[in-house]
Amino acid sequence: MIDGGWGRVRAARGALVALAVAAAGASGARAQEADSLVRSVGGEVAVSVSAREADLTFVAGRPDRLVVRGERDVLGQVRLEGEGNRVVIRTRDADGDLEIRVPAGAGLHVRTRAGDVVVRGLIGEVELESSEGDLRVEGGPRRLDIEGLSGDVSVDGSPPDLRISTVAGDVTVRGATGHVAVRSASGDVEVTGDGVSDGSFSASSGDVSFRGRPARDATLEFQAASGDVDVTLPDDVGATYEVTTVGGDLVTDRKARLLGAQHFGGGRQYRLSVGDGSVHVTVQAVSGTVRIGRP
Amino acid sequence: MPGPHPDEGSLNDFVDGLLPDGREERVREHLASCGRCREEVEAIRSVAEEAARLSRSVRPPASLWRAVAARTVEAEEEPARVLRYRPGRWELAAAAVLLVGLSSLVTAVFLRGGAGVGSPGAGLAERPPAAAASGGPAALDAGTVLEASYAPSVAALRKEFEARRSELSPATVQTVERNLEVIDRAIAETRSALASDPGSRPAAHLMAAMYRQEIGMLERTLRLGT
Repeated sequence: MIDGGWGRVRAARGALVALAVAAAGASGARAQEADSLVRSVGGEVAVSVSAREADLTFVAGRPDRLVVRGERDVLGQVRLEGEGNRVVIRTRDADGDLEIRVPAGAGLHVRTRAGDVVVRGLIGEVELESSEGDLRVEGGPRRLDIEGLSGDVSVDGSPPDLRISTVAGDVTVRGATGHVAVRSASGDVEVTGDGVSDGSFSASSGDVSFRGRPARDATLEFQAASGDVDVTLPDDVGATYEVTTVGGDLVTDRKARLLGAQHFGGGRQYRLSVGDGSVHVTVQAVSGTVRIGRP
Repeated sequence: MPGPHPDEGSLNDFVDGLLPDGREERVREHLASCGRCREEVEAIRSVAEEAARLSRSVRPPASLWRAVAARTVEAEEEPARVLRYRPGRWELAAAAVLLVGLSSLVTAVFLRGGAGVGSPGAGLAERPPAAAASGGPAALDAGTVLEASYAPSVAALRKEFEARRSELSPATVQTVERNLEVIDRAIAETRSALASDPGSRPAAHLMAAMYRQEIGMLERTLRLGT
């Protein structure tokens, strides 16, 4: 009985040791598999990335170096090319995660087919193009230009010059300011933020919504074919609205004065004013509902 | 710092004098220090001026369309060649510039309706007079001219889309086709409104906007998806 009990204890201890060894081995293997490529840079850095399937995360790093990190088998597909401060990264057939640390002020151009792209904390000029991947930007690059086909696009931050065009993806911008242009076909466009001075937003079948406090004398333009348009401004923001629609309805809960109404071949155009009318809002919607709202 | 680049619609409206005062001033300031946008404005103006010299024929001559349009005409005349036409980036860009220019012409001739009609906000109070009776610009059918301006490029892009649909994912093809239906319906609705009221600026603006949406979607799909 005693031997049998001791035997079970030894067996259990042996199993624990084996587990510990296995765990240590696995950990060591992971440590060995993760690797990095490093390039020294300085001054004005421009980074161009061409990718297919790899998921890419760009983060602000040291100003004097560019670092690409990933599993060794993924990293093995990556090539760093270019000269001096112009770096070209080709991920070829890499299919996995890559983290790329670049100087915060670097210019960045990324073209990818199916991989997702995340950009965090960069303040230079950033251009992203993707066929199928989702694109997400956090922070406020000086200029941000995004073109997508079917992936979703989200921006959390306040780039002062922002352009987004997509076909099927939804677009979400939180923190919009300055110049903003967002276009989608079937995706919904949802923009929030204060300080937009010049905004244009459009969708074909998707809905378009804007909510925020634009800059004084801002110009906001909205277009939709079949989708709805929803423009929500704070009560103390004066605005002039020009709304054109063929088959849609105009709904408002703002205390607006009707400056005029024009009928044309089954369609209507309304001009409304709230307060000092300083923000200029133009809405062109063919068949969707236009809502001029308050928070 | 020249500030953010105005988009092509804004430059188009700038050339037409259709921007609100504050915005026009901002664009003007930007142009003073941005060579790229100045070049684009010059391109818009030159095409618009070239087109403006034409008679009021509904369809511009093939010479106006330069490379892209020439290929479009060839494609229309010789369908078998369509499959060999793969527009490069510059060609699509050139098409966009041409469209902007033609749109500019259309806007200038048909939407402004002569002196006294300025900003878009003037649409209600300063609608073009019933120039149809006097033979003025609004006498022309704006819907027909808009179709003539945009339809050839839309047709070329659609043919290209058909030729390259096997290179696109089925989901993308489905999305594009669904949106083409939506936009076509919207164009038909605005076209119908214009047919009832040929001098309507709001209807013409709306119809042009829908064409631009269609062109933008097809161009983006072909460039990113294939």
